[in-house]
Amino acid sequence: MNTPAKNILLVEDDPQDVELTLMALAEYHLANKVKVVHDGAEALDYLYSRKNFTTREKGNPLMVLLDLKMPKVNGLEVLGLIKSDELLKNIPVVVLTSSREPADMIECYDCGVNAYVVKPVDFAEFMRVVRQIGIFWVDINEPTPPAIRKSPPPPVEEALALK
Amino acid sequence: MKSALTHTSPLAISELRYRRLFESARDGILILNVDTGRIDDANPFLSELLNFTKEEMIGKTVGELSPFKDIEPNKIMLKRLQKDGYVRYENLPLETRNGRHIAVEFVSNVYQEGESKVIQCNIRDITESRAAQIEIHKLNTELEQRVQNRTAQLEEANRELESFSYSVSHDLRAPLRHILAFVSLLQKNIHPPLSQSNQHHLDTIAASTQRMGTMIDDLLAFSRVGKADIQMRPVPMDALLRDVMVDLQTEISGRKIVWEIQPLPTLMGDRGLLRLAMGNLISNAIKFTHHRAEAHIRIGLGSGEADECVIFVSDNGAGFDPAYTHKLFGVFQRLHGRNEFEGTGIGLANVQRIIRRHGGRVWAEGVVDQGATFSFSLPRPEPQSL
Repeated sequence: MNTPAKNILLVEDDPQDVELTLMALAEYHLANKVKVVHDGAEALDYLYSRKNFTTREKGNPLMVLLDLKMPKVNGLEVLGLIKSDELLKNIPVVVLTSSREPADMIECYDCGVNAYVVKPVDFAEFMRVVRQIGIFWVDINEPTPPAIRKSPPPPVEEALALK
Repeated sequence: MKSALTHTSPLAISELRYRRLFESARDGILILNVDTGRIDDANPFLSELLNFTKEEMIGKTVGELSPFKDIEPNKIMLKRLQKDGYVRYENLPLETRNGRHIAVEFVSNVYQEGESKVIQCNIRDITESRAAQIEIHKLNTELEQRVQNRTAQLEEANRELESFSYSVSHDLRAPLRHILAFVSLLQKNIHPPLSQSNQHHLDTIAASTQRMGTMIDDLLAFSRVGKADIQMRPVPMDALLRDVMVDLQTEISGRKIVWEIQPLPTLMGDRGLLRLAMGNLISNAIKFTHHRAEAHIRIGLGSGEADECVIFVSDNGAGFDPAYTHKLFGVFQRLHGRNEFEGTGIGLANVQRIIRRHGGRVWAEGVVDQGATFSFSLPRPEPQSL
């Protein structure tokens, strides 16, 4: 049986942002539940339990905190793949980005993002926002029951090409 | 010679006059027998043009002269001349006897000459004008190509600019956020507490970083105003003004402001952008009167050209030195110290960009400490478009 991993997948390439986000989540004692990956390709490897993550605890994360601008596979591509995969699409995805560009917001909502949050410039505000995201999606929101994969997931390149 | 001419008959004088025209014409002229199509006469210019002597030409048909070897057969041309009275080739390529390739316009007409008829052919050398036409056509084609290339270059530059502002929004904001974050962490966690002057240094770092963040945001908003699609619709400026006043509630509250607002017309424009422009102008009026015990702000219709509507916003605030009027609308240009009035100096640049994109203009009048009047014009809408 799959047991939910009960953690947060933080997809963020900027080490300073990783540090600050973890700091904010630590205030709510969530930091130890965070798995950090540094680009979209690694995020997909984690979600599909492959490459470096074949031995990871089974199940989907409680939520994905997703940066948009990243090397290799960007956040929008990760979002698109998650939301079009039967077994991943119910994972709440919160985009946490510097971009206030309307085009980015529209594309994310079109892809089915669960929340779009612009990283506040002010640090206290940043801490408050990240903490609230953690509280809501980890404590308040009820996740979907675990699902079971019947066919193997497509490799990243193929899945991106399908788009 | 003189006496000979004076004793010549009027007919002979006329003959002499037209002979001279014939001899000196800068067009080739042939006179043909109307029945046989054979050459009776040819002028010197044609001899020169084709490199045939007059004697070589007389008695031949046009087609028997080698330059005209491809022209239609003599009989057919004669038939056409009899039927229509003229034959015309607009652009006939020829090779002269000395091997020059030229193009001529060839026109034959049948004229009554007393009892009989003659055919007169006028042969005009159009080689140079044809070449000029071809050259013009070529230049036009090249020009079109150049315009296309330039347009493509401009579009490319625009795309680059867009991706530039996109990366500004992402890549420049991130380090700013980080500076602010780590400064506040430092302030929170440092032991023992900082000296007053060191605390001030940290506060300055934080304030400057914050300010740079605001400027980046302003610059991005400014570039968006330039990119945004303009949706032209009728905009009742009265209603727009009411919305703007709601937007500005927090700035107005606690202030003593005497408003004088005249009725405004309905204009054509993008409601969102015009709201931003009006909002900026009125927000400025509120800002620059904050040191007045009683601010006076007037909004109304100004006078302008017949085809435009002018709206002005005037106040009794700090005003400005008219010598610097040209700087008012520049990006990040400020005419007052930051400790006097806050803001980055993007507002009026936005106003100007918005109004210009609507086909209007913006201008300002002011005197130091005696208030300012900002006016903008929009094209007067056609009554049927409203």
